[in-house]
Amino acid sequence: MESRPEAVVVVRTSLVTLALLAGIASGQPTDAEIIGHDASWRVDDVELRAEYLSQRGHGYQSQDGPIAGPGSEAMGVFEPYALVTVHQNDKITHEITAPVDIISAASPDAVDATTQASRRNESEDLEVRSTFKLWDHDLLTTRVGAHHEEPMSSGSIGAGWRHSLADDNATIGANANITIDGFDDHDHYGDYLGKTARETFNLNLTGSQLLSPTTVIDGGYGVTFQHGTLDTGWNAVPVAGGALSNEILPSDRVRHALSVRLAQHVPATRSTLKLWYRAYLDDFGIQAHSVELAAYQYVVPWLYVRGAYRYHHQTGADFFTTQLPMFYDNTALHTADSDLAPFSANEWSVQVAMVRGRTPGSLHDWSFGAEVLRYWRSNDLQITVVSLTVGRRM
Amino acid sequence: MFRVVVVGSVVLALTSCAIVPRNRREHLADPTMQPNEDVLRDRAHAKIHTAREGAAGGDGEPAGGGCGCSN
Repeated sequence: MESRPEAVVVVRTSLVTLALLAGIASGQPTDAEIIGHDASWRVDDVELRAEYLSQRGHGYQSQDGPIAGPGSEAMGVFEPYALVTVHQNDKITHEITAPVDIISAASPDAVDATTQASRRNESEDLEVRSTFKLWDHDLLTTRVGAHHEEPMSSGSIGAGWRHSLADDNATIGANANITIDGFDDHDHYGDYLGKTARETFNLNLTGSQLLSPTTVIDGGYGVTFQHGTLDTGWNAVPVAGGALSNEILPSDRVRHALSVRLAQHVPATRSTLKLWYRAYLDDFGIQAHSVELAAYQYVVPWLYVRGAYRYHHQTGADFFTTQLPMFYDNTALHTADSDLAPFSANEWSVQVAMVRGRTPGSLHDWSFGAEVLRYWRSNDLQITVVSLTVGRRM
Repeated sequence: MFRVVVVGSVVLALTSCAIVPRNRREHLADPTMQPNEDVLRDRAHAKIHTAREGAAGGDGEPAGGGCGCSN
């Protein structure tokens, strides 16, 4: 009889334990909740980036200087970005990007007579990229974007498809985009000439291939056709004798770009190397080659340092000049835009980044990063960019 | 040079189709190996080049918007 109370205690304790275990179990997600159908909308990830860009240099298209140029291209840009990843269901996700530019003293020139566009300006963008998982090996992507700044507004739409092959060892894809810009037309005196527009059609073919358990290669080819008012109306072209002419560009442009990238991970040193090359040509007469080498080195499993160097060389447009003769044909193509000049550009950047999901402790779902970038061109343009990023997985 | 790159890319693609089984892709899944491991950084860099280099744009991304012929 003395054992009865003990048996009761054991039974009670067992029941309580079972009840507690059942309670705990009911609080855990079921398999269906983990891998089953999920039709709910939610924000998966939020990332913010704030950067400040300082530019110094001179270009012959700018009137902020002597008549014969070159004029100043100095400006400062504060640019916050936001990227929000939204999960709609287990087949559809959306990436919403919203960069905002706040630009001060961007190449002051004739346009300041009628607008503030080159003295102080703000521009806003909104882009939504959506991914639809059609079948196990096929993705459909769409993009819708809008841009606004004082002299112009633009809208763009695009769609793409990507197919994976050989158990995801390779992918092939294609996408097409259309952009329409509508903007105020000005001449190089700043006089308003009315509304004008340009259209851009773009087709890209992409592919990737796993080469080994630590190596992957990817690349793409893109062709772009532009039509309409391609010139920047207020850009000036110096004329011998001290006068200025307006810029005259073709109304059509066809551009080709081919790029390839090789990525190699080195497990022994916890490093990654990426080598990227791009070739470009267009019917303005510009040919260009760009190459970038980026190296990633983990300091600890949740923190890496990225260093990159990029070199770019381009020939100039056939009709680029820094000075027209005193008696020139004002129907012939000509531009003094330093972006269309022959030049070489160098760029280096250093970034420190924390890997979300690997960060220890209470920062597990957070990431932080910082980057410094320096860009300089052989035709007198220098840029320094400093940026900070913060992200959180929701 | 353009032709060399095209031919080289095709040859490389045709001769290097190794099959890497899923259980050997641990290193390929590392965040630094992803083609777009930092979307905002890549977009910011692309914007720097698109606005300043007449030869930028048109490779995998829509060209257009922004100012003038450089886009």
